[in-house]
Amino acid sequence: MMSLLKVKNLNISFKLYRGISEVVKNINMKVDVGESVAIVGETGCGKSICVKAVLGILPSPPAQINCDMINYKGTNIFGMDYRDLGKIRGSGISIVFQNPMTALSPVFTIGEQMIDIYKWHSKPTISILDWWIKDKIDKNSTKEAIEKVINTLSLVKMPEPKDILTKYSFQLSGGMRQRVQIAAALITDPDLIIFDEPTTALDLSIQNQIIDLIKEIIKKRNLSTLFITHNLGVARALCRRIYVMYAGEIVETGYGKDVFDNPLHPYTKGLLASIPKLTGKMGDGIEGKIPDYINRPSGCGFHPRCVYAKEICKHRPSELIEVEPEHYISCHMLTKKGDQL
Amino acid sequence: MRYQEYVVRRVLMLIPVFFGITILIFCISRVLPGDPARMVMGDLGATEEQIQIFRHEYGLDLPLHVQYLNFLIDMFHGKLGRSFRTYRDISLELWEKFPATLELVSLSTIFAMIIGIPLGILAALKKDKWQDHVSRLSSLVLISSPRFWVAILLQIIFAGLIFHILPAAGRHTPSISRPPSITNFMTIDYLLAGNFNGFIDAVKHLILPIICLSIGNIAVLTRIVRASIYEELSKDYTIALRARGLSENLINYKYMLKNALNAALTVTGISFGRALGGSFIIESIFAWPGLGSFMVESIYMKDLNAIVAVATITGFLFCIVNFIVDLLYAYLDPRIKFGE
Amino acid sequence: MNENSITSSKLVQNIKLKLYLLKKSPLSIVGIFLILITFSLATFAPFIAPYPNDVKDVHMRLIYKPPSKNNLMGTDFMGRDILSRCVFGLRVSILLGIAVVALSAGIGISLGLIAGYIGGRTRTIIMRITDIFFTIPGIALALIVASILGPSLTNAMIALSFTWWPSYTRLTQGLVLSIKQEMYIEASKSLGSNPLRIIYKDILPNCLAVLVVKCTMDMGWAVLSGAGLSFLGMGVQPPYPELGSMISEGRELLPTVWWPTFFPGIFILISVLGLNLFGDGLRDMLEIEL
Repeated sequence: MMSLLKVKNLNISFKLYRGISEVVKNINMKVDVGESVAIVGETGCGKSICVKAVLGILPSPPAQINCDMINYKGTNIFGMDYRDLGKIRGSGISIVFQNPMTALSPVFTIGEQMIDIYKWHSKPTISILDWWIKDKIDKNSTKEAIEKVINTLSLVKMPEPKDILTKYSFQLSGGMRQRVQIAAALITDPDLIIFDEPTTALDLSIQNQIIDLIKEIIKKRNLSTLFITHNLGVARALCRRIYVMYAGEIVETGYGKDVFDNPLHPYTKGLLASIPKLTGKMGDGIEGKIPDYINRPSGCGFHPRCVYAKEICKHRPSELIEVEPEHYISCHMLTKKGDQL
Repeated sequence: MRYQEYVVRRVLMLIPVFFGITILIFCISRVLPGDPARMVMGDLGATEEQIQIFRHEYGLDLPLHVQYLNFLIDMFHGKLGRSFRTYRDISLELWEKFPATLELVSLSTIFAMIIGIPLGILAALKKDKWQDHVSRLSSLVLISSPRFWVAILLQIIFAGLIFHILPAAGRHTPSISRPPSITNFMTIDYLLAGNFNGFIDAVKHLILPIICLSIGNIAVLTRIVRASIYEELSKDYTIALRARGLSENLINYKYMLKNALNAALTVTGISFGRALGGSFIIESIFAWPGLGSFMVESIYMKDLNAIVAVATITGFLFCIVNFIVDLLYAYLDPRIKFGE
Repeated sequence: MNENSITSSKLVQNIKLKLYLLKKSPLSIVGIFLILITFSLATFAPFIAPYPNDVKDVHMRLIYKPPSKNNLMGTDFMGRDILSRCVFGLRVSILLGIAVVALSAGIGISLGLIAGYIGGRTRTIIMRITDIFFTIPGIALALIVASILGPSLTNAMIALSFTWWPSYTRLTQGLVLSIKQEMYIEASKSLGSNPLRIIYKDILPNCLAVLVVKCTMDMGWAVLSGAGLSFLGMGVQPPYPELGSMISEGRELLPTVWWPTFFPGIFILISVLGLNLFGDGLRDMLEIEL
């Protein structure tokens, strides 16, 4: 199966007053056609920055991005000019942001923004003449756009889609705003949708509705998706494969059921143990805190917090090793064959 | 419903402010040390008795609150006191001169917006590149120069020493006949009368004074718009629109422009005020027949009543403009309009 | 480690950070440079000016001489060396700037502290008064006051301070209000501290950064307005030189005799530019929105 998206050796750092902050190191990941993949990790581990770099929307003077290749449908899109990259954004790869309130402009109506997105997505080089003047002359395109917007809004189960067109974002509830955002991502007819913590900013009761909605849409449209979340439940419910990220590095990856049923990396084990269970006590948590990205710990990045840490962990950085079929971890404790030291 | 409430509230708030202005100006004029009668008459070498008569004529020997009440009552009748110099009712002269100042100051404010907003957008988009630094430096240099000095230099360069393309002073060339006064704005009146030559002439006379008046405002507008756009650039919705492949100029000139215009609108009132304040000196330099030069003349002549009258009108005008800008701003902000 | 060394090392860190930021902003360094130049010129005027007596002396045979070796900036309508007069005029301008800012800041900040701290009725009254002052554009108000008081340097100072104190009050009371809500003030109050002490030790230091930036920017404005007032005849009376009145005097034979008008303006420009550049850089450095 060909990969829809393949990222090879992505590194992102920021130059700060105190030094260089290496936020993301050696990330390799892929999404196959029709697949749902999740990136899980705690807040601050660099998940969002990775995907923003893929789409090229991470502002690049403060950030220094280095990568061997970002392969989308056979073409390397890393370092592409915004004119070419812009054509892929929207119609190829689309994104749903975490905070639906700020992802929409507060001074334009929902309808106007959706229409603009539908009409002008993936057209990074159109001139002002086009969208301002010619557009006023062409009434039919607007009518068609309105119909499409209403259809998409119904697809995401918005009540009264026609009324929503004239409303502003602050007049809608959180759940509705997120649905609008999903509609905005869908209306561009993408192959791959990236969901950046889609439920984090929502109330618990709404979260489930949105998750169900997303599930339905993925099935209907046969989409490929990339989920970013720190909620392991969401990852498990929606995704086939998982990447576990810690402090900017991938520590474990594999099929969802493999990773959840048989977590091998100490961090993943700690994460899963932290979830409070219905039957028992509160979760345990992991000792320590995330490292200082300017002065990273030597050797394995997790060793200061790892209960199994040995001498070698302090000196040698670990690499991803395939321990079971399609199950990789980055740890010195396990050899290739899965034996534990 | 909420918007109407807002309007009514603002109108009601105007009334105490108007009173406040009159009290302030009146207090300044009567309470500060310095005998107005002596200042005027003393210059002319009058005797003590003549000064007394003068004082009586203008009611300066009445108790303060009586003077103030008379002042207010006169104002309600549309009279603004009598000039110390000419003994004419000042309102007549103000009525003639008011449109000239209004034309100059409002056109200058608009001009500042036309130049300042695009410059601000440009500076924000090219932040930290050479265009940004050049624009910052030049605006700082412009704000730091004394306006009257720049005015004189411009007069020298464009109307005297080097080029002769612009008139040095005045509002219109006497050889071109005045248009029928409909709005009393020379530019508009000429246009309405179809007199194109006259229109060009009026515009030529306006160019230098407007440039001088708008200097500070252009600099402030550029900075504010630049800050606003720069803030918007990193906001999520801009990134979201870009992530969907919309073109940069669509994002810049439709979505961010709206915010820039909002930001610019908030300082429109202050811009008008700064231009109004500057009009005093600029009008005298360019011999522009408006309130400003009238004020300066009155200061030279120590005509206290005229000073008070012009100050009051200036204050009222500033208030009203701010009021209109506030209403406009509230109208355009969907959050106030639809009630959140 | 005792307390003192902890605070002093933090202070050193702080200073290092500020210097780093300063390095990133070359414009402020230019500003500081310009300020130093103008202040030195003003302070050492009697020694720097080639013809220090031209403050009062008149040389009718030398009138309107263009810039030359003897008179680097030419002579004015009374034969006096313009360069020397400018340097002395700089003294007046800078003095005026400092005095106006000191006076308006002094009155304005005190009233602002009172309004912010006591709140309630006192605050409303003070704020209403400042609102009224804001209804008349600054320069206009200063002109009016100065014209009524009569032309002199002191009166110009009073007039400008009269116009400018409300902006300090408004700014300070806003700052005080937001700081008041911080917890540690509550704590201090409940410990029964004297209000004056609270204001002085807790509130004022936090306002300082913003106020210092404002004072710097305002000095530039004060110098400009002072020049404007004397241009119209309201400031220092002749024959003592003042940059604004020199510009006005020099208008007689424009445009052929351009130097009496041109050079004083350059002096004003440089001093105000230095102050503005520095204030601007300071504002960026401290990341303040005024």
